[in-house]
Amino acid sequence: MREPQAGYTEEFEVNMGPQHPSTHGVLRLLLRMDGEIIKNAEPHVGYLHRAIEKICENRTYPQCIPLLDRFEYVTSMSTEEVFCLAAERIAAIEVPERAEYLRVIMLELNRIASHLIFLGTFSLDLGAITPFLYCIRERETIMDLFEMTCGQRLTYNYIRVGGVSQDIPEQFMPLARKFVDTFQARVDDYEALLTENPIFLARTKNVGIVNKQVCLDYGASGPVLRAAGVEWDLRRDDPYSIYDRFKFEIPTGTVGDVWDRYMVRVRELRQSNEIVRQALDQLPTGDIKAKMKPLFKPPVGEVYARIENSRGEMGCHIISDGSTKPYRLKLRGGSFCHTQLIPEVAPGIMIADLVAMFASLDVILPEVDR
Amino acid sequence: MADSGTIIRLLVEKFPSQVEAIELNPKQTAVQIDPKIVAAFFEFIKTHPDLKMAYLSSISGVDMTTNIDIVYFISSIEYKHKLTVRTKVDRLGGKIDTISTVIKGADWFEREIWELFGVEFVGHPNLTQFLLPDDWDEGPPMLRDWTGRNFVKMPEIGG
Repeated sequence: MREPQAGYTEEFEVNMGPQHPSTHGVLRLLLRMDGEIIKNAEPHVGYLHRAIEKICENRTYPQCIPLLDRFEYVTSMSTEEVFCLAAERIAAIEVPERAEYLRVIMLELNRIASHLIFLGTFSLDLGAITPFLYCIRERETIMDLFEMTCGQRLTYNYIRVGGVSQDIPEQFMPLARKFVDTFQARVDDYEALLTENPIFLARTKNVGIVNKQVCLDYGASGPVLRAAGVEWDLRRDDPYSIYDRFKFEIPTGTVGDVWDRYMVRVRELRQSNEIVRQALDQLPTGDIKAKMKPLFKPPVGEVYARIENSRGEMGCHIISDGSTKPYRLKLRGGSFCHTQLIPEVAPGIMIADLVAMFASLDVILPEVDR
Repeated sequence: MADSGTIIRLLVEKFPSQVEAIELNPKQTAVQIDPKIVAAFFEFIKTHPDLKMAYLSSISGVDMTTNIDIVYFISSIEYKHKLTVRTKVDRLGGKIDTISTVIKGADWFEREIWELFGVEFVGHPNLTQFLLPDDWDEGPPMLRDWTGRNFVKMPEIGG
């Protein structure tokens, strides 16, 4: 047996996950540790691989949508939107005005719901239980709005090729307006709990820095990229749908630490709320679905459509061979790139800070594994 | 922001016989390139002062039954222009140079295509089991003619 030496610790390996409360899904991180300091981190993914892309090649376009809801289930609306956007571009379908507005309302409400889930689970991971309860309370109203519109609370199957599945019911407008009017004050409440809290600051300021260069090298997008100080938002920089009609700011951070990523998302909550308010004000009357043949059969073509999801760029590459089924469907999620950059930023930080950093990347694993 | 014509002119000037413009749809500028130049090509569009394309959105593999197409989607954060790059490799035992040496983010995308389509990326640092189970022995599953143990072909609808 070797004599223990002063100031010497033997390196050892730890498996974090696949079943671990702070990995938000099923991710296995193989960590090489020196005491509490991480020497090396290697993500192992694939536990949630359901072969969505393969199955979609074998389904018609409308049949794909409920399945794609399971691709990124926290913001299913985005998944539906990006797929329908791609299909509409191939088939050159014009979506009616009212449907576009309804889509934007749903997408932004969904973004708020997703960021609320982030805020809740992120603070849980840092040991703060109270914000979670408040976040879920506000999210509940959004879920009610979705439920009264399409009957579902998580996997909506609401946005369809050419429009949306049904119009909003009578009760929708009053409840949505009430939500929009009170939400800014609710965000103030969350901020009062966290933003200037000294314990929270100690856990997040200058912790888990994902700087600009790492972000650009690894194709990070969304709040992770913006927190590093890059002003890049596809809603403005590669406009889709009718986002060019709304006024909103793009919040950015400076150094890209955990606190910056938290702050960018909190400020995005407010911006999304303003977009919903503008869309509710401008909502026109009219059709909710383009006139199409009952059997959707796009011409031969190829499209890559991308949108700004709450987790970064979400993309959908469709190749059509002129039949009722997509010849190839490739999905891209922001989490894919954000999981990929963990080995680059993890070495040298403490294991407790890895939890904070990983939570602040807001990765969900079904989006990585598909 | 360079427009579609300028981007293609710059690329064709640099790689005269190996790059050719193709038409996908009005919103996408696209080129077909020779698989041999792939690493040099991405190095060029990343470093050229008028292009600066380093933000890799995605890489798709597509089984076209005669060969496998690799499709890269890349854009520039500075100039906000984007480009689709297509290239072809052999269907079985196809090989192509990795671009993860130029753009680090390509690493996992290439690993995925290696696993699901069987294309080898020469020079890739870590081509190991990725999404599929550890004991997978049924070959690359995204090939069009793949039939696995539990794979059921759905009937055609509407012809």
